[in-house]
Amino acid sequence: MSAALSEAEQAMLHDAVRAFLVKEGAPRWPDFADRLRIGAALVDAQQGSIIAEEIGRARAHLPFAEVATAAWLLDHCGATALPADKVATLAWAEPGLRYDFAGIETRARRDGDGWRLDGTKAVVGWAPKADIILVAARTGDEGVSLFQVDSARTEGLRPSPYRTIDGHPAADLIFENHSLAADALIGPEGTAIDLLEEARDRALALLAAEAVGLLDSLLEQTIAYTGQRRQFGQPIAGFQALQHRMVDMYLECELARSSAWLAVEALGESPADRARAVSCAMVNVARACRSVGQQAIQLHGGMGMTDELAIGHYVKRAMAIEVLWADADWHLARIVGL
Amino acid sequence: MLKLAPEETAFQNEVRAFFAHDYPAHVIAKNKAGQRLTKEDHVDAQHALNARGWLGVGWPRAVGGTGWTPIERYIFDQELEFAHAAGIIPMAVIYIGPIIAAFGSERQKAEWLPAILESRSFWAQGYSEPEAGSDLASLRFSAVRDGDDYILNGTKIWTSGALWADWIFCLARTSREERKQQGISLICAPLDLPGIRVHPIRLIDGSDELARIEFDNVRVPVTNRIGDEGQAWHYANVLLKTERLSYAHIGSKKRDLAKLLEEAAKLPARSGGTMDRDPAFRLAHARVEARLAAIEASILRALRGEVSMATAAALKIACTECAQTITELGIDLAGRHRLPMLERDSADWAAATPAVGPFGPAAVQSYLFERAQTIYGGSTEVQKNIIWRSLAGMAR
Ligand SMILES: Cc1cc2nc3c(=O)[nH]c(=O)nc-3n(C[C@H](O)[C@H](O)[C@H](O)COP(=O)(O)OP(=O)(O)OC[C@H]3O[C@@H](n4cnc5c(N)ncnc54)[C@H](O)[C@@H]3O)c2cc1C
Repeated sequence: MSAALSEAEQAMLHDAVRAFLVKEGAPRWPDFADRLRIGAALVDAQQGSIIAEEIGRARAHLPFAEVATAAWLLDHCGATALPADKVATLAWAEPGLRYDFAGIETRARRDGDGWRLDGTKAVVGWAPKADIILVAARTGDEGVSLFQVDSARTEGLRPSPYRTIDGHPAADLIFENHSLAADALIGPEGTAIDLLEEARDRALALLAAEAVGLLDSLLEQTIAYTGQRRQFGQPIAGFQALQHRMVDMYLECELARSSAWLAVEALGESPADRARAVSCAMVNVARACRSVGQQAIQLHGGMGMTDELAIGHYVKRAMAIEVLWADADWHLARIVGL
Repeated sequence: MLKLAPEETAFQNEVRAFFAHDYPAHVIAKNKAGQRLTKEDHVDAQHALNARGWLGVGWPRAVGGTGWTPIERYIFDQELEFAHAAGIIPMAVIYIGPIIAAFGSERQKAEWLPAILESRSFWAQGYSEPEAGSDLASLRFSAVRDGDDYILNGTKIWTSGALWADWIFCLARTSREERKQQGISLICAPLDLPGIRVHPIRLIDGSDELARIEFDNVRVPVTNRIGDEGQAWHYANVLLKTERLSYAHIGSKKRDLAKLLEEAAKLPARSGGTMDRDPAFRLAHARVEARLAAIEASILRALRGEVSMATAAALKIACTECAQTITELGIDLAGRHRLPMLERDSADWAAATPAVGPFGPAAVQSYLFERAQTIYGGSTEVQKNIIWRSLAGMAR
């Protein structure tokens, strides 16, 4: 891990990413990765969380959390590092499991020197744009292993691409006797579950940070709109009923910010402490995403319902953040140790 | 449901049998499959209802209405929703029909009402404007008298169903008065007149059934005005009360709750098993059921007695928030399956995501669309202001 950034360095990173995203409008991953030299930030959670927060604020369509998660897994397994301009994503979810990696049923069996992959992966974020897909698959009876799949090799791989509610590309992936070379296996065979848990917590810390920027922006947009929208001869921000709702939004934003900090700080802790802290953080982040999103639409009235206004798109990204890796109930159960 | 009188129970059985046997099955099938209905589907559905004399709900018998008691209407609504039948598009049948019947001229009744019942004309409600939302009385849309015509100018927005509609009924300012509620008239216009332009508005759930409509010197005969000049606020208020109670949709809430349990039995839960066994989900589900029981009892109480403005407003809030809670339970249940955003126009719409069933993508779109329930028909905040006005006396 690289040395912690000083306050000034953190501010500089914030500013650089923000300026880039404002200027580019619709940034593309290779430009973003190249021009901001985000290589180190992919595996450093503190830097990553700064970048994620700005991505949230701008609601930029970038696979940052996906690539960072994959990059960290490759790094941790001692595999060849991902060139920073490449897109990689992890395929773990399946139709038959909710959020627990133990339910993974996709199978990889040995075939000569290499492997054969069979199974279905559900809603794999950024898969249609990914150069590399890391696939979590069962090997043998007990263990789960990680495989590196070259998405250009389509034999035995049936992708169904679509967009998710936040406008990001995703796909369901059906593997049927998809052949892999021996070196597709990354990390030791059969021991990927703990690794996946850690990867999930890192991804969640980044998503929490993204939520901070996203929710701040929702609050700012709502304050600006209600300050300028007039009904009954006055700006609607003059109604106390709306003021208190915006104050509630502010409160949730503050707690989300603290939650993101908590999650990032917990990443270096023992697995149990880390899991507990990240889950506490995510329960609050999920709640903030839900309530700030709902209030933002409500306070915008009909305007909040339109596809044209940014509000709805921010809300939909917040709804995705709530469940990309696990939902609030899953986190609560993890805290309770169920 | 509270106890029904024997003749009410008989009516309920009759309605149930109708939806099972005499109603277009393809409409029910599409609804069950989460496919969006086309205008033709709605026409088929309305034809079936009309053939039975059951389309003019809230209309007097004399003009082809059902003449039902409030309880009969409630039973009908509930059975329609249980059956997954198409909701009656409210603008013509539920909103303007009763107003035409009550305040319209003989000619309006003779021309407009049969056209509505026979599905020859669909209507849109032109109340809201860009600058007049919650503060509806501040509307600027103008109707200026010119001989036997009115010249209409202005913009209406958030007009539901405008793309299917043939007619629109508009609140229009016909004179400037001291109180801004006065000097407003109810004027109708066919939507294909020169000077009218309809711009669809796309919403966050991917639908585009709303529109912004511009009127540029549109000429309509004075005989298109319903009732007296300047009296529309009064008529609109008569209408608003029915509109607010029409949001009850107890039947669809029960149906949607039942559907959630059904879907839960198919979705994997933590640590094996399915979500219908998941304690957190079951408790959340029961919480909504309990709430719904109280709401249903409130609606039945209201229907059996007189409804005050405050009661109607309170029920509007309770019903719409409950509907939103159910959609929220839906996206919570769906988990990651809520992520895909799909077009739902074709029969095989769900095939786009082979690893995810149709439930999640449909649930997320309902959740998004139903955010509007607490905005339209008078937002929750505005309803609360109304309720407070009637409570304020106690504070003195
Ligand atoms: C899906 C949908 C369908 C619709 N269909 C139709 C239709 O067919 N025909 C039609 O005419 N209209 C229709 N509408 C419009 C609807 O009636 C308006 O959106 C509604 O009246 C709110 O107005 P607004 O959007 O301008 O919000 P605003 O009035 O700008 O309200 C914005 C926010 O301010 C709050 N607010 C406003 N005034 C007060 C106050 N005094 N005190 C406290 N809070 C306040 C509101 O509650 C809301 O949270 C539809 C709207 C939607 C979303």
